[in-house]
Parts: sequence; structure tokens; C-alpha cells
Amino acid sequence: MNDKLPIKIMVNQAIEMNFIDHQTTVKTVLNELKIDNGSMAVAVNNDIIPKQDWEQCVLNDGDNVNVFGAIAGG
Amino acid sequence: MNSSVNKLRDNEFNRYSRQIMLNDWGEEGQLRLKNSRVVIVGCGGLGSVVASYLAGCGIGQLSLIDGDDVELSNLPRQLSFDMDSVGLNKSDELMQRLYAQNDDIDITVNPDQLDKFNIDELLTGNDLVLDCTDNFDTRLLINQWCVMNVVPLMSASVIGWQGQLLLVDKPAEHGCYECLFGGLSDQKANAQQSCSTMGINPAMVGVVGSYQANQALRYLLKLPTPLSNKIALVDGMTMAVNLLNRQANSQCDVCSSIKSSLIT
Ligand SMILES: [Zn+2]
Repeated sequence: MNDKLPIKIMVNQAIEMNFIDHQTTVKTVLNELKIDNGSMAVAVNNDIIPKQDWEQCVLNDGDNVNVFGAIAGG
Repeated sequence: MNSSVNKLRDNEFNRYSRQIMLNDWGEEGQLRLKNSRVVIVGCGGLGSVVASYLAGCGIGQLSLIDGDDVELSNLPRQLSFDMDSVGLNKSDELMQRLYAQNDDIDITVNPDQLDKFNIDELLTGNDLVLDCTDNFDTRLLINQWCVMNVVPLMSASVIGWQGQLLLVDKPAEHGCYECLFGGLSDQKANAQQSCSTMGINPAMVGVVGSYQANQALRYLLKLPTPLSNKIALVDGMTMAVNLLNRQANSQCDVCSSIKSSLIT
């Protein structure tokens, strides 16, 4: 595909994000959303990505990203 | 120890007839349940829903753990309790309700908070641990104990309009609770994600507790459950259930401590 076109990422089936940089990673998305990395979990296209891989995990156009935190209520 | 039972009595065939008639349940499945031991940690919203189904379905031995007393603010969602229960211990109250529902099963009650001193005594010997607690410290403790002692753990949690469910039974392949959320113990700010601080829609404990009971029954019946390699995110606003694939995390403190203890 055309390198000049932004890539489109969908976050939690609700937020559409566009990135010019084709080396956008999971970490970039979290930073952009100002999400504290603390105890969050992230899945790309339904696969959970371990925290230590977030900086290396490059996203592709059309990827679905799920970001969620642990909840404790019972 | 108790020997396993290999025949159902007439009144059991009658009581459980509607589930026994299911193709993948049958008398064999019912006997599996009768010979199962399950511990429920936390007898609040989730725990009372799960316990009612498991007791109703004929799980042979149930143990209930909760050191809390029933409060007025529990009554909208903790349907096993009524106004007379306020001020009384949750696990005791729940046991009485369950025996009224089914006196064919054995129920053990531990009206104490689970902690690192009593966890060996309270969890050992069970086929499945159900985490229905309301705080991260206990959740992390249970996860660590279950991984170290190779006891399957089905963990459920709710807050607001959201729920989460997972089964930790093959941590080396699919990871544990800590693999998923890593470093929770360091996140004191996150220790506040409970019903008392964040609020909860009462019906969500019914939704998520029912899913937990449903998948726990499948696990005990030795039927496939997606939760052994997935986490289910349940959204009560949209009715969406997202199943996300889990994997072991090479940097998980809990899983790596098991590995190192195996090596030494
Ligand atoms: Zn782990």
C-alpha cells in the first residue's frame, strides 16, 4: 500500500486513530491515549501482547487494539 | 479421605433430571460433579450467584470462604441475603441458603479472610478454585498459590458495567493472572478498583457470576471451555463478549518463580 497514506487503528471498537508513521507500535498508541502502562493489558487483533513487547509490536493498517485494566470487584 | 461415588440415587436422578438429559452431561457427568470439590473465595455478588448454581447442580463438596458480614449496601446485588442477614457473616448465611436449596451436598464454611497463613489449609484438596473476591491483594495471592500448587483457578471480577473471566489451568502455555496484568502488586493506585469505590450495576454480578458458574460446570464435566486460553471481557452496556487469546509471559514473577524452583 501507499507509504504516504496514514494507517488506521481501531481502539476498543470505539476510538479510531490515524498514524502517518508506519512504524507505530502498541506503545505509541498508549502514549497517544495518555494511558498509564501500569497494570494494563493490550491485545492486537485478539492476541494479548506481553508488556515487554509493546515497544517492538508494530501495528498495521486496520488493526484492532484492545486496551483494558484489571478489575477487582466481586 | 472420601471415596468416589459411582452411582446416583433415585432422588438424585429426579432432582438432576433436566441436566442429566443433556447429551454431553448424562449420569457420568453428574457423577463427576458429585465427586468434585470446589472452593469459592468471596461470598458476595459473584460468589453467591456461583454458589447457588453449583450447589443446585449437585457439586459434592463446596467450601465457602468469606470473613465479611452482610451490609445493607450488599442487598441490591447479593440475592442470597435478606434484611435479616445484615450484620451476619456472609459465608455462614450463604451456607444456610444453599442447604435450604440442596441438602444432598456437603458444604464447609470458613468465616475468615483468606491470607498467606491460612491459604494452604483452606485451598488444598480442591479440584477447582473460584476467585470471587473484591481486592487485588487476595486475587494475586490466590493466583500465586494456584500456580505453585498446580490447582486450576477460575477468576471472575466485575466493576461498573464490565466483567472479566479467565481460567488458569495451564499457566506454562497460556499464562496466569499475573502474566496478563503484570506488576499489579506494585500498583497501589489500582488497588481501588472495587465495588465499594467504583460502583457496580447489581445485575452485572448476575451476568458474570452466571458465566463463571457455566464455565466452571463445563470444566468439571471435562467439556471444553474457551477460558483456559482466553480472557473474556464482558461489556454490560453493549452485550459484547470479547474473547482475547492469552499467552504465558516470560517476565511473569509468579511463573518464573515456579520455573526456578523446579530447576533447583
Ligand atoms: Zn504467570
